[in-house]
Amino acid sequence: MAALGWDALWAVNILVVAYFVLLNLFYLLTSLVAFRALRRYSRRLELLDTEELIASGGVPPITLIAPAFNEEATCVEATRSLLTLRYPEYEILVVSDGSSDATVARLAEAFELRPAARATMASLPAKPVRAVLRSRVHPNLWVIDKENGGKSDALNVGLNHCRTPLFCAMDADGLLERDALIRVVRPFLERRDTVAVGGIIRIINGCEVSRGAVTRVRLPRSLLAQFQVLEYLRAFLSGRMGWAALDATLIISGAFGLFRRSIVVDAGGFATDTVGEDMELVVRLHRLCRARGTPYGVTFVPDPVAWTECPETLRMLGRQRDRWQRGLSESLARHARLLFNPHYGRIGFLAYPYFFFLEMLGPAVELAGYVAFAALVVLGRANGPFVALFLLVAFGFGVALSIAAVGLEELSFRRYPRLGDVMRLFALAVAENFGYRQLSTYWRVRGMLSTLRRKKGWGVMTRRGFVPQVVR
Amino acid sequence: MSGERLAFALAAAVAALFALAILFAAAALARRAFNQRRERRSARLEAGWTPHLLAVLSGDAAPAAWVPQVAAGDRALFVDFLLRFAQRLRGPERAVLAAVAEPYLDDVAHRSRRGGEERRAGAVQLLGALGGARRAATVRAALDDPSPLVAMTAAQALAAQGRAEDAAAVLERLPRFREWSAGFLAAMVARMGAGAAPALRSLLADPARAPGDRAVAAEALRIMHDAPATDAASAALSAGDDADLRAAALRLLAAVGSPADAPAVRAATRSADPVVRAQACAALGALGDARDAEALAALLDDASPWVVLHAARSLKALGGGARLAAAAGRSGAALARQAAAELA
Repeated sequence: MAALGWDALWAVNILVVAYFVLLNLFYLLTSLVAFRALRRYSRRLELLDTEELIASGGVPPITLIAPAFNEEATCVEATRSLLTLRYPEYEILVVSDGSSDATVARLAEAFELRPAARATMASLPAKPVRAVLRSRVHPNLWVIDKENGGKSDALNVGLNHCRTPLFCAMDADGLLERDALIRVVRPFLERRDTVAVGGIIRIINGCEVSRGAVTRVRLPRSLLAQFQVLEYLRAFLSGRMGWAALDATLIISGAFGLFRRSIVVDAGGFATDTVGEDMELVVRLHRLCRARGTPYGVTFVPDPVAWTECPETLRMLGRQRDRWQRGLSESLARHARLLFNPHYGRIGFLAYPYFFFLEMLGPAVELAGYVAFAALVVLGRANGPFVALFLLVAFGFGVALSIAAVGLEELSFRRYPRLGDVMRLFALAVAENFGYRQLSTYWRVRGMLSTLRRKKGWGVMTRRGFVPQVVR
Repeated sequence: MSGERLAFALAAAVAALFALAILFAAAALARRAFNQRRERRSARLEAGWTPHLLAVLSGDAAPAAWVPQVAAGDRALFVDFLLRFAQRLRGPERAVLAAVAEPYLDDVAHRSRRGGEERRAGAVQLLGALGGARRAATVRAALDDPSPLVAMTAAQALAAQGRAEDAAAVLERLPRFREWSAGFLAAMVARMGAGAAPALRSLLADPARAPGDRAVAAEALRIMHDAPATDAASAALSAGDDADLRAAALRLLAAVGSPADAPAVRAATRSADPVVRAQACAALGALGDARDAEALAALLDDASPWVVLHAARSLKALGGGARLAAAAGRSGAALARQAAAELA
């Protein structure tokens, strides 16, 4: 019996080592591919004359759909920033998802909203609309007040009212950079069968904001937020960029993505029974396009930026990561037939298995590894030097990949002008291995358990708002 | 693998990973320092060039009076500096810039044929913006570059220059650009101006050309408000069966057509394709008359909300407000009701 127990412990450790090797190989692969793709992208960017593109009139109109739930602290500033975007033709639909605070009242006062009729162009099922309002001073700004049904439901209401060939799904509390739309639309111009494009999300905490635009980029003061800056750099510049270069984009962030309206309507809109509606939609679009047998493109572009506020307390961050993990698990479980399915090409054989085995199940394996390692050490069955060396390899990989992500940032967009911020990012690449990563694993395991318990809902996210950070 | 070997391998991996991390960090810092030095140098040089260039552009100094002393290593910076002005200027000022740039463009022309595709495309962009007629042949040759990026850059450069003689060359290469969005291509082609209209009309009227290319021509002619294109548009609408082409022809007719084109448009309201029906409804609002009210009212029951909305708009434009109100009052006409409310 005891021998069986030791065998099980060793089996867990071997599984953990295999997981660790595979995960880091994937990270290495996407980082290397992203390096090449970013260099290429930066060179191509020099060929882009945004003024000419705006003046030419050759870009399709876009509708920005911004679902808002109790966003009274940020909604006016965020909407004002949307009104200053540099794009020839766009509409803004702010969809208040049954807000119980003064979101609609603040918007109505700030933008002189008046009741208006607007015919729907699709009939995706959604909660009833209470009022449609249009700004007297900005005719392209509409606010739709509806009964509470969740973010996806609000997006579907926006889609029903959308009249442009493309729509941008975003968070009402995010800030888009002024050229974000003209940059994110590019893949739709260069490849007419593009159905979805994601942009990069960056963290606004610590930055200076004036008149709805980020005017000075700095690292946040909070250590927790600083770790997240590094995580976002890794996730977007190494991860998403790498997957896009491999033509296997499976996630587009709900905070900023541009989609072809018709195909999303054909696919049935956003799923309302998952908190991972962004990823679920992208996976469903892959399935729909493959089923139709038509060529299509889903990709990521690294320079159109949406700025977002990240959580600065452990409680909020834990909730967010719990929700992300639930969203990931629900999306993947719902589309399990993609796994190793040759019909889905790289998605079925590369991206889906990566997210399924390494991102969805990974946290459990990692946690099991910590426990098994600890058990072997406590029971005196572990070879000390081996354990130490293995942990050092894991640590070294983590540091090298994080520093590579900071390097990619320096190679491409260099958003952090202060040398001190860059040096701090290097230091964070080391420090995050002592506590922060383990906490992340814990939250993700909690998210897995929440999925199994079929927990629903987003949890509360308190926003500080952009105004207190304004430096005048 | 023996325990000793495994330990050695792990130790080597640790050393390699930490060396890699240090290398990445050093490379990032070196890159940062390089970029900052280049930016400082560029700013310093441009601060010296700008007053002279502004004096030449404003006519305060003759172009020949300014012969900038540009070191061999700074030539690329100098032409990039001129490019930024060229992208904002037209006409005689652009010609002045071309004269200033000309001594440096041989290098650029050489670059347009060598190196990676981004490098070649960058050179073609420079030649298009600063080379004028003297470098047009090099830009035209780039239309046949194996890279679609370079070919597209050449097409954009030629379109921006607006020389009628380049229209045929660009339009012939449209099949190379089929991946690009039709709207973008149409806007690009329309930049060639009225001189390109005859070639665009020929393309639209030519049944041997791909429907997608003809649709681009129709959109470009619509942007240009080219009235003589109506015959070609009517022919494309009546004879073609491609939905995109027919929809583009309808948009063109709505913009520049006359009541004489209405019969072809009326026929299109019965198309099986909802996009064509919707565009036909929109065009009928511009070209039809009160006799079309009945047909438009019938289209208020269409399954496509786009058709209903366009039919409602056209009905109202043709004085059929009462019919629209009546249709909206019927039970089951939810779409018509919404459209009527919006147009009220």
